Amino acid sequence: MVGEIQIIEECKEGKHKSFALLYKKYAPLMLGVCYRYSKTKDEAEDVLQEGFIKVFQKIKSFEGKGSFEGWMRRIMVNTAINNYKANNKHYYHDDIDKDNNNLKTDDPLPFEFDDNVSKLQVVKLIQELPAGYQMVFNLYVIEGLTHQEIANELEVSINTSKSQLSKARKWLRNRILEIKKMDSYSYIDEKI
Amino acid sequence: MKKYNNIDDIFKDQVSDFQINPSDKVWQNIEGSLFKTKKTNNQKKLLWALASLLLIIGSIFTWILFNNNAEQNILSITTNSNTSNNDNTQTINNINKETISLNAESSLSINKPIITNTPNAENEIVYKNNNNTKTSTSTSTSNNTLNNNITTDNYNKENHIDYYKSNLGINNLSPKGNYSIENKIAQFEISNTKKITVDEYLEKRKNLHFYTGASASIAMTYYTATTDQPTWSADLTYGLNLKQFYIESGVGFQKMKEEGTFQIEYKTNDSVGYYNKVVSFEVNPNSPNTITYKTQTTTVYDSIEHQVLKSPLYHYDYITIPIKFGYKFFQKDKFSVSAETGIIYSLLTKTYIPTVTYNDNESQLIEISNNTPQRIEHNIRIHIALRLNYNVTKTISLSAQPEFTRYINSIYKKANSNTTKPYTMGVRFGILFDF
Repeated sequence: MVGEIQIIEECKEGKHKSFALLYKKYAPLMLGVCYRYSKTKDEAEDVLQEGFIKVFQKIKSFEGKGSFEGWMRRIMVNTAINNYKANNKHYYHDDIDKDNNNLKTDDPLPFEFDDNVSKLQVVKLIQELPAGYQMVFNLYVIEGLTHQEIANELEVSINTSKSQLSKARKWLRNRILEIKKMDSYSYIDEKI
Repeated sequence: MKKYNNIDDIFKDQVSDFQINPSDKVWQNIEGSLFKTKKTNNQKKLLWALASLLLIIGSIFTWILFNNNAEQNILSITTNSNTSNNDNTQTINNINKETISLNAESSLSINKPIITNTPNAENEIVYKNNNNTKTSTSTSTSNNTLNNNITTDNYNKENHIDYYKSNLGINNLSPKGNYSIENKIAQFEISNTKKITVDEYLEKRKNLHFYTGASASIAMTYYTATTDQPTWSADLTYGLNLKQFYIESGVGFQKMKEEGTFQIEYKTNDSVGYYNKVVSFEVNPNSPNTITYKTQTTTVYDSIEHQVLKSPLYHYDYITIPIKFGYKFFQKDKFSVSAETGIIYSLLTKTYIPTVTYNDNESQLIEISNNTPQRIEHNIRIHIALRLNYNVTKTISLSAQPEFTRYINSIYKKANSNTTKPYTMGVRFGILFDF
């Protein structure tokens, strides 16, 4: 069994077989990341493809400090951000809400969630978010970036980031409650 | 039912390790992209290597030709020795008739070699020139007595060599090695050559010679889908001239431009119509059934999508390698005209993509899409030209060359018609150095 470090070293030497091994190991997890930032699986796969090409091109710069998975994840997220900026830049104009400058970023309300809901259905909920909300929600909640960092990445103001996050939370809560009322998550299409 | 403190925790918990298997095409595309790039890089390296090799070979070739040119003046008389049987033989090589013509600038004065011989000692050849005196020493042990002069009136090359042979006693040399007087004879001959004109020189040289040169061209590229754009190039060339024909190759750099196609979609709040808004109404007390409405015309605005096209210039860099064939069909004095055809291979080395931005406070950008067709890396053009040549000196000539080129293959990746094969018309100016 070849270790990950050895595979990475072989990738640095340009060995095709090692690229394939690395891809096989990480592609499903990385597609999961890309999927959250995309609207469809096709779009997610485009981001994954571009992200992996970057990973292989930049692998020599990976010095082994920190986890390789984290390093890859960051590249995928950056690729997704670039993809979003290229395709959805106009959403920012819609989403800037000057009246929400003092919005609270935390949402401490307790919430009950059905255990039977699959992860895919949860991800689909994120995908349903308007593009701007989806981006900020992913970066803040899942990746753990601060509003300052999000503002820098997306080239928006901190207040815009806060506003988008607040709206995203509200949107998701309403959506989940709506589904609960229907007493079924089955309407969320499980097909990918 | 699982209870979470807040909605964020649901998503953190549920999606942070979410996985889906990608379809096979993703890896195929990644693999194709990585290997294609690798292959393309290798091809580029190979072509750069070929171009460099061509330059190196050309340079070596030029150097050799220059050297040969200088050495053409040397006559050599070599004594091949066999130490075991004392059987000496002498050969005379490279008596090159061209030697005289190649030294057209030399003086007409005759130098008289005076060769003295001391029995049982070394022969000494002394040249008395106008400016200096040169001495060389042979290792002969001839018993001949030498005291001969050559004058202007009786000089010719064969006699000169015979003169040395007989007077220096080459046939009787001891087998000690090479016996060389070639430089002296050459110097003597150089000093005795006549001046010739450039025309005479060209006449002598017209059978076979090599040349090298540099050229630059400016041309207009005619695209059918976009506006015509100027193109320029610079080349180093090497060629072989055989009587009226020549074959030429080299390496060059070409810079091209073409308009890109960007589509900008944006939306604005535009007026789409109007309606009459009722501001107030009055009921006539005398006639309650009559109501008077006061209205106001109100414009209706809606978000309307617009599209605008922008055509900023793309720049492309190419490395070119031509192979050209020419036929000189007219020559008068220093002026000649040749018809030329051939093919030019070009490799796309760099594409400069323009940046397109859209800034308008009154509207909202939807999307900027780049619809510029991508260019392929390898192209072949057919080349037709007329070369007008003027010999400034016997070795340097200037050329002006109206030329036409037409791409054989499409320059774009997605080719669908002949409109993808542009043609160029322009003029090339060059300087050529003949050997």
